[in-house]
Amino acid sequence: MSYISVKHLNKEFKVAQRGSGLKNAFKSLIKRKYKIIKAVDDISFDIEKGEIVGYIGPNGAGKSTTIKMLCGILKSDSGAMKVAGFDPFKDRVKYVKNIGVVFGQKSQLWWDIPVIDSFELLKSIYKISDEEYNKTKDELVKLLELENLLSTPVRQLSLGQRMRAEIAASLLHNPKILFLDEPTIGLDAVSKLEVRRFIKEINRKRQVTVILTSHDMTDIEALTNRVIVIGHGKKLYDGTLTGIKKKFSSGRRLEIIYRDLVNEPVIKGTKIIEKGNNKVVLDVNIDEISISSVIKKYTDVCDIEDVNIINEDIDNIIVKLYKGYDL
Amino acid sequence: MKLILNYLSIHLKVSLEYRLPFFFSLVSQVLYMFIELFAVYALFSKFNLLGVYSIDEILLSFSTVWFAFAFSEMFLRGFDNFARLIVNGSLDLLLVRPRNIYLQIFGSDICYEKLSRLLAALGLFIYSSGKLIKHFTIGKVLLLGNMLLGGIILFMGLFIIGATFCFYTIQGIEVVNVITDGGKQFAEYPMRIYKKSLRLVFTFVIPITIINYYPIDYLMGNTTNIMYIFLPLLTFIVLLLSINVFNFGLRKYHSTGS
Repeated sequence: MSYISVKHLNKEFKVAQRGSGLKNAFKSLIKRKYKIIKAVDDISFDIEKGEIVGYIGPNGAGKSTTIKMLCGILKSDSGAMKVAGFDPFKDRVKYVKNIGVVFGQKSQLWWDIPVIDSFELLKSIYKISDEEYNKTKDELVKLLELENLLSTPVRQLSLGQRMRAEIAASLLHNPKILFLDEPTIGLDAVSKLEVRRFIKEINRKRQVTVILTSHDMTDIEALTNRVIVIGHGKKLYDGTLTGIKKKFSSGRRLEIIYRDLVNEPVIKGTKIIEKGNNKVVLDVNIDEISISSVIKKYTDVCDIEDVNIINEDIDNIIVKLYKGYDL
Repeated sequence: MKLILNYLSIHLKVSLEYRLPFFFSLVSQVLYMFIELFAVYALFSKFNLLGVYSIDEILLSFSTVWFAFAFSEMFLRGFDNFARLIVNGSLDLLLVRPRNIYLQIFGSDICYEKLSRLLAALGLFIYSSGKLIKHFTIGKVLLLGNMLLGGIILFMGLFIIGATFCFYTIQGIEVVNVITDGGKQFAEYPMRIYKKSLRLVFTFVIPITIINYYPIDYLMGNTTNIMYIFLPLLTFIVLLLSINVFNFGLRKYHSTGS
C-alpha cells in the first residue's frame, strides 16, 4: 500500500441559506433553509513516500477541507484514509507526531515573544529530547538563515521572515509529512524563491513527503511535477504538470527576428499574431507541425537573427482547465 | 507537567512584555472585586440584615465563589474565549499537535491579571473562615479545602460547557455568561436569603450551593453530618458531564475558513 492512500473520501457541509436584506435576516432567525454542499466528493489518490504533490483548485474547491481531513482535524463522512499507517482522525494524537503543518494564514508562533520561545514551547509539546532539538534547530536555523531572527519578537518580523520561522517551527519535530497550505501567500519574489528552495531542500535531505496547496502556479511549477486538481469537490486531474500543459495548451508561441525576407512563407498549422519590422510572431499548433520545421521553413527564405519560443503561461493553462470543467 | 510549566512561563513573558498595562490591570481587578463586595455589604446593612447574617458568613460565601471564579478566569481563559479559537482557526493548529486538547486549550491563554483577585479572594476566605469557625476540627479544615477545590472544579465544568456552545454557534453567546457570571452573582450572597425553590435550582441544576451554602452550615456548627465535608467534591459530576459534552461537540466540529 502506498504511503498516503485516500479512497472515496466524502465530506458534506450544511450551509444556512438566506436572502439579502434585513427582512430575510429576521426570517432566517425563525426558519432556516439549508443547502448541502459537497465539499469533498468521492476523492481518491495515492501518494508515495518522498513525493512532492501540488494540490490545486479554485477557491472553495475543497482543498482545505481535504487537507484538514488528512491532518486529522476533520472527520470524513465516508471513505477510507490511511496516512503513514494511521487513520488521521481516529489515531489523531499518535498520528500528528508524524506530520508538520503550515497554514499560510494562521500562525503557530507567539506574537509577542521572541521566535526562540515559541520553538522551546514546541519542543516540550512534541517532547523532543534536548539533543535532537538542538541538532534539528541548528540545522533549520542554518538552512533558513534564521540566526538573527531568533531573539526578535514575532510581531516585529516581516512576512517573509515570519514564514521562514513558521516553516522551521513545523519541522522541529522531524515530521515525515509536511502539509503546506499556501505557504507563499503574500510574500515578495525573493522570499518566495527562498521558501521554495528550502522546501526542495528539506524534501531531498530528509525524504519528507510534501503536500502543497497554492494559488501561485509558479510555486507548483518550481517544486513539483505531480499535481492533483480538484474543483467542486471532485478530482479533475491527477498527473504531471507537463501533462496538463499538453492537454490544455496545444500551442507554442514563436517569435522570429529575421533579415532579408522577400516573401512571407505560408505554413500550415501556424497563425501569424503580429508582424513588424523584420519580426514575426506566430502561434504554432505543435500537433500539426513541429517547431523545428517552422524554423526550417523560415531559414529557407531568409536569415534568422533570433528565435524565441514562448511557452504559454501556466496560469493561463489552469484558467483554461477550470473553464474546461465549467468551474 | 513540564508542558504546563512551559505554558505558564510563556504567558508570563507575554504579560510582562506590556508591563504598565499589566500592573494597572492587577490593581483594577482587585478594586472591582471590592466594589462588588461593598455593594453586597451595603445591601445587607440597608435592610438591617446584618444581625441575621454575620458579616463573616457573607464574606465567606462571597470569597469562596470569587476565588473559584478568579481561578477559572485566570487558567481557563482558553475555554472562556473559545469562540475566538474557533473563529481565527487556532483550534485547527491545536488539533495537529500530539497533546491532549484540554491541556492545549488551557495553554492557549492564561490571564495573569486575575492573579491579584485570586489572592485577594483567598485572603478574604482565610480571614472570614478564621472568624466564623468557633472550634476548629480536622473535618472543618478539610471541608475548607474541599470548598476551594469544589469551587474550582465546578467553574471548570461550567466554562467547558460554555465553550461547547461555540461548536454550534461559532460565535460565543451570552447563554454562557448567564451560567458563569450569573451563577457567580447569585452565589455572592449567603444562600439563606433565597427561596427554597431557587436554592434547589442552584443545588441540582448548577450546584453552587454545595460549595458554599451547605458547607457553611457545617462550619457554623448547624449540622454535624460528616457527609457535608465531602459534599463540594460532587462538583466532579459537573466536570465529567461537561467533558463528555465537549468531546461530542469536538467530533461535530466543522472548522472555519481556509
